[in-house]
Amino acid sequence: MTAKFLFVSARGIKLFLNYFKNSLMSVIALSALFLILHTAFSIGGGISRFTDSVARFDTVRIYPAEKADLQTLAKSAGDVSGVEAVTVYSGKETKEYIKQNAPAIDGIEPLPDDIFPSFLEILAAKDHQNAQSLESMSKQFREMNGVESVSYGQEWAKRLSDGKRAINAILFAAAIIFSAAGILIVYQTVSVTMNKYTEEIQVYSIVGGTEVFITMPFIVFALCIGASCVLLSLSCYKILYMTLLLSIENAAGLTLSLSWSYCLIFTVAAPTVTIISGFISANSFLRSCRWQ
Amino acid sequence: MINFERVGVIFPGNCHALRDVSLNVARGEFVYVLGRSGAGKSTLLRLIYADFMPTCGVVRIAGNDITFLPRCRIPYLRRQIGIIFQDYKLLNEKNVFDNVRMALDIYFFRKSMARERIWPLLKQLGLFELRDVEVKRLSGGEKQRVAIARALVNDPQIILADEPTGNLDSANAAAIMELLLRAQVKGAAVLMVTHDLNMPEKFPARAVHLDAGRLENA
Repeated sequence: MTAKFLFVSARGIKLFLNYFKNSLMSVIALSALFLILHTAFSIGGGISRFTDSVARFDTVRIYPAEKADLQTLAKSAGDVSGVEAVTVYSGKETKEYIKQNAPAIDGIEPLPDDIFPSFLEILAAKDHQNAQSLESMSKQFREMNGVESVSYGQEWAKRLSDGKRAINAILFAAAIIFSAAGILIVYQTVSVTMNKYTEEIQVYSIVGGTEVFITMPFIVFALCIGASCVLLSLSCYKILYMTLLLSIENAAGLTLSLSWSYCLIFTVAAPTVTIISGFISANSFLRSCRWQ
Repeated sequence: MINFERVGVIFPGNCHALRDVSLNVARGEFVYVLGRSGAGKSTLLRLIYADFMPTCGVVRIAGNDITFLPRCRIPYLRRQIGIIFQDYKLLNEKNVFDNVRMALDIYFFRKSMARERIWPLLKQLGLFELRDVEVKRLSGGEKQRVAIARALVNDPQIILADEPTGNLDSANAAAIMELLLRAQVKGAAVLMVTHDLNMPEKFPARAVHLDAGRLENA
């Protein structure tokens, strides 16, 4: 089995080298596509990480209904899972809070304390500081007696979540489109190469070569193209990162480097896609041959 | 070894290539298939190596009914058959050794192992000195001997020769015939298609005649 594998692999690598000029064009075209994909993932991932870091969801505000007892409410809120601390702000404290945080606003001092709303500020525990957990906590707060409204910046959370979803959708679509383009390029390259080897394929068919024997070198050939593209596109991305993206990263405070998991998935997925494409191309070429 | 029972082949356009053909060729038998161009001689050979299926009737090759032979088994049937074409079907850019070696590649023979099988055969066929020469530099007779070497290297049970002497002068044609007769003596069933009616007189053997797709004993 190993001897057979080595035999057909050697033939596939020989094919790749013999038709290097032909393969090189495909490798360059495919690597360029993959480089665009890496850049898109890098920028998209960077933006996504940036929005995560600027949008901090760590507190929830509970506005009590009229005549509600703040201390009782604070005690009940403190019992909810994921709550780290509860701070009570009476009308007077709210007035002080506004005076400290918005000194430019005039005319606050003469106003009576009771027209300022009292509220509870809930600090979420570290592992609950995200939009999903805060929404779940808010739901429990709303169900408590004496609560008028609950807020943690839902609008922002929704916008950021929608934005991230849009970025992910665009990246997913780009991955699909570029994979389809890659499949077509490899399909065509294998087809053209097989066409150049028609006579040899015909002779092998006549002397009793099986379909696997005939097609396997061309599938190895497709694998060589895929592996070369992985190497070339990741190397080009590294150069692009060092020369251009790193300076953007430093200036804009983004993290634009590709994650190890992305590189690993890409290193496995790209050659797999080229193998599948080579397999389909080689088999459909054989089917189209009259003498097969 | 080769058994045809009331075989018919109809190509698209209602073109009857073979009609009601019945033929038996035993192991170690030499049979000429004679007939004019378009009589169906090549169609008969192509049926034997399962290049296509008959429209009606039964074709059994080495015990296999080719109509029921799965597509994936066809290569294994072809390994029992050595085929020689009038146009040689050799790769001109490759040398003699590599052309013959193609028939052993399918068994994943390494070069040293292939050499052990091929060199004695090339010596026998008078091609040993030419083993490293590209096929495009050879004469017609030499090319045909290379094609025969490729057909014989696996010791096939059946040899199909489609006009093997068609492009050759009489001396080369006689040499090729001797090689085929030698293979027959070794036990292979040889089916040789030719339109040269003098061939059975020079090298006597059973002959059948194809005329417009119908087979008659000559």
